[in-house]
Amino acid sequence: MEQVNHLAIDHLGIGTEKGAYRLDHTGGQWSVSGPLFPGWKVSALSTAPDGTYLAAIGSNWFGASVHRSNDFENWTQVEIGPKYDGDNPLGLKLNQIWTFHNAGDRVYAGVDQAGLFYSDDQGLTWEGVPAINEWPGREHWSPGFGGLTAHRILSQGDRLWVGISAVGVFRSEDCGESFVRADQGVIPASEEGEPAWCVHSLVADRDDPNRIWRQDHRGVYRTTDGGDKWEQIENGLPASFGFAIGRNQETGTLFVAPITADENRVPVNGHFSVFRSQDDGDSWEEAGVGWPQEGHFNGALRNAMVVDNQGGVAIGTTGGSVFVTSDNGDHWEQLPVSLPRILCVATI
Amino acid sequence: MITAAVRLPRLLEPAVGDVRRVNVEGGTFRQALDDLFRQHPALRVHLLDEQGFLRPHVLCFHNGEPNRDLIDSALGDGDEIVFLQAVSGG
Repeated sequence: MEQVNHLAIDHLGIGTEKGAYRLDHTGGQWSVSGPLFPGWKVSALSTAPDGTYLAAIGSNWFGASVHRSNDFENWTQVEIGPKYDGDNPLGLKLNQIWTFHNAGDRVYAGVDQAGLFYSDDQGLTWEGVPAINEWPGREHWSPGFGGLTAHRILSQGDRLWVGISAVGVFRSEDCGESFVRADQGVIPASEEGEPAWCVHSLVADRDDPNRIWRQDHRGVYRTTDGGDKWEQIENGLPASFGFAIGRNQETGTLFVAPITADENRVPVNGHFSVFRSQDDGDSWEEAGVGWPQEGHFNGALRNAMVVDNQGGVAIGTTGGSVFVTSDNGDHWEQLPVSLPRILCVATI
Repeated sequence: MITAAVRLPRLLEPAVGDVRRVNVEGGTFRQALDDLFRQHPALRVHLLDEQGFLRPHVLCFHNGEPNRDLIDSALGDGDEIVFLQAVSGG
């Protein structure tokens, strides 16, 4: 009997500008189902520590909310979701929930307007993290093009890293009770007034979380000391701009999806592809084969790539295309779907 | 007790399922909203922002008259309150 290897990447949840879709790879064929939450932006999909699926939705009209499901089909909105206090002195509003992150039994959520919330009951109820949400001077924070957003969270034990656009990286050593800034060595996005850094995404080494890689507005960087000092690592990249970055934690392979430039957010020469590094970012090369050679002018957003540590990577584009590999990036397949603008990709 | 009806758009299905009409009770418009949110707590975050204002692209009509500021007024038996998404978006 032929051995069938079941990969996490074989079952994907895709959050788009217009609903969520499920892609399943069974019997050698991909199938698509959906949309879930028709008409809603699905900005984050995740799995809580107990296996409960989490979805963050919002719309151009109605407010953002967290939904839970045991089967990825039937969803229930939580009643005590992430929310700023009505009397918060800055008049902060929660516009969108952009990421979930599991830290032990706790789930964090990063939101726009930039803030951090946590749940200790698998996403059922949520509380704010004052050290970020009430950061002194945050009234001077400025949004990136995608909003003033906490969009990336890393953790290990009591340590926590939060990426906020266009502000920078914040690190905590005490479970989020207090934070310090961690952007030294990264070129600021803006040096007018107080410097601001536009971190786009972060990924850490699961076994040594002091090693973090960063796709920033101003290039690709890494740190080996938890963010005290960053160095630029772009050797071999066709462009340093981009949003998504991921890492296979078994092989150490890094993946990024370069975009021409801040002011021209399309793949270089209409050639969309993922670049990978197999030496911790010292050098980069285009990852394998299977990419469209030309005529593909859509990039990938920060949450639109997932790496499953089994050799699987999936990346969705702003044009609704999905590319997958099951051999750590040697061979890529464009799936037979054309979805709305893809905001997030998750294994389910 | 005065009973009014609240009509909801289909887009709010993730919060209320297939409910499109909710009978609410109260002596005033604001009491009717309180009853709506008591029956369907998940609705509040979608219709109102943190400060209690109607979200910018949501419309509210009370017996056909716009009431985006949610100004309180007397409720009559059989009144109709309608929430709609504005004609915007993409």
